[in-house]
Amino acid sequence: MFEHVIIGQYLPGRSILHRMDARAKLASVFFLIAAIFLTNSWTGYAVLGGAAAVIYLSSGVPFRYIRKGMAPIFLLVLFTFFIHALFTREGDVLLSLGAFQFYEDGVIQGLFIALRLLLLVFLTSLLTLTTSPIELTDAMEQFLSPLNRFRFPAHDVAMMMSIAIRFIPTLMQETEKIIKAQTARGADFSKGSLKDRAQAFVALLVPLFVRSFKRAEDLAYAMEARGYNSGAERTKLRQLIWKTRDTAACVLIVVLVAALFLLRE
Amino acid sequence: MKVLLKNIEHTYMKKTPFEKKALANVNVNFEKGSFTAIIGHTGSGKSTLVQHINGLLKPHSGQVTVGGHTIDAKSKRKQIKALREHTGMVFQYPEHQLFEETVEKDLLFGPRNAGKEEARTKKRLPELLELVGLDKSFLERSPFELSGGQMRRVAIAGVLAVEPKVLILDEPTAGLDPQGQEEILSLFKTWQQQYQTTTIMITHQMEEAARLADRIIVMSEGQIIMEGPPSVIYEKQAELQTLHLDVPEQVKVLKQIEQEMGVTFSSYHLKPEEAAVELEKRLQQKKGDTDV
Ligand SMILES: Nc1ncnc2c1ncn2[C@@H]1O[C@H](COP(=O)(O)OP(=O)(O)O)[C@@H](O)[C@H]1O
Ligand SMILES: [Mg+2]
Repeated sequence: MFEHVIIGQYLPGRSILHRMDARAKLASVFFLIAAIFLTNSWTGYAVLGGAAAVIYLSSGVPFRYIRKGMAPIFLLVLFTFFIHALFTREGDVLLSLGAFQFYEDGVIQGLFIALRLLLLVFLTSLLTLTTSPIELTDAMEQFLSPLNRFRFPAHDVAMMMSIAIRFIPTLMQETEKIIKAQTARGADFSKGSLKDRAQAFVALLVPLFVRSFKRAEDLAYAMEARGYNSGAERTKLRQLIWKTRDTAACVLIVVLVAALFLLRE
Repeated sequence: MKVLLKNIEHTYMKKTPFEKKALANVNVNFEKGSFTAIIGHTGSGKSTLVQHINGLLKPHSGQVTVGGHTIDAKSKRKQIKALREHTGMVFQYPEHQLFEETVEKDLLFGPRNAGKEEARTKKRLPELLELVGLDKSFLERSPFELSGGQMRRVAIAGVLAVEPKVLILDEPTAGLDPQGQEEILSLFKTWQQQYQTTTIMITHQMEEAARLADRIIVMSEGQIIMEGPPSVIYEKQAELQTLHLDVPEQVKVLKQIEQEMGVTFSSYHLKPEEAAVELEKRLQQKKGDTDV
């Protein structure tokens, strides 16, 4: 049922991108996103596109995963393109179709926006496809930890995130199991009248909630019994290890972003 | 109802790096009114196999026939639903499927979906509850205020309420205390004998399998590797051990007695009293032999 959903879109592997430090990847994506929004020239987008292609090639991710991740936003991209293309009335008229006129500036702006969205989703997909959710939360925790001084509970937030992530597969398995059990009792989730389907969903949601609360309670007791205390200093089982190649990758990205900044028109 | 599985194959997560072949070319029949136990290591494909019988999973190749209904990889929802109406399935931890406000409403969920006449079903509920070891005062209670064992019984009654022709049990006694296990199992046996239900039970315990089933199927790595009456399966102790499946205590005891006392039993599938009688006979025979 959920066989084709890949959790957090993470795809285990051994590529260069997989082995990079999660902090390096997170920082790079952050800088690249900034660059995407700064860029406003064709040369700039060509450079960015080239960089994205190089990053993709070093990820070892089969293209169909990217395609699947991008499919949902494709409509959004088309929609924003047409909004811009139709409502920006500057420059020469390129094409006129009945009541609609496409102006040169509008089309260019529409293309820029579409490219930005595509690049954004492309790069973040690559990040989540090659970084395990736990590494990602660890990296985020470290980036957020300076905020501790302002009483921002960076550790608690990270803990909540990793628990939530940890339980996504459990929840999906449970959902699948209950759907199967109720289907075996004759419930129909995909067809039937609205009333029948509503009843089927009640038969799914009630057990799911009951189980989730029960599990949360058990987990809280188990953590407390082992002396968990949110304020305590804590070490980690998996350490993020920063290597020379991570520094190199970050330097490369910074140089790239600087170059893109200079290419601005 | 008779169940036929022909050349069944099933692969999970097809065309992803997580692809996993769970069933490879499985052929098996279940006769009307028979009681079959399926044993095998965790991950050997037992649950995957039985979920084909009520159409929860479609085979990627091969055919499943239940009574007059056949489904294969191309079957449509309607055909699958028709097949499902005759089968009941008790999952591992079936109490997780309870959701209604009262036990009575929950018991009526299955029969209502199957389009059974409500008045008639309602009349039968006290009897059904009694069969699973609860009295009719439970009908008005909320399933969520019951103990784990009671919830399990209600859930099982909910499956039996539709009077399935084929009953599938996927480790129905997991997590119960020994006495509870015993009660639930004899309930299934009673039901099978009373209604001539074709019963298929997955279990981890050889003892359970031996006592209730008239046939045992042993699975390993998505295939059926042994099949036969309990007494025949037990003879193959060495093979069972290579599969890390334990032989029942009873068989071990009989083997040990054979070794120590130099006798042989006619079968390892004897009840304690039968074994005692046979042992006495053998010992007398032996004594007679040496006296002469
Ligand atoms: N929903 C699923 N998605 C992916 N793989 C699964 C799923 N269910 C079972 N499997 C895999 O298929 C194999 C057989 O599983 P299963 O039929 O549950 O075995 P058993 O019931 O004998 O323990 C196992 O390797 C298991 O990991
Ligand atoms: Mg199983």
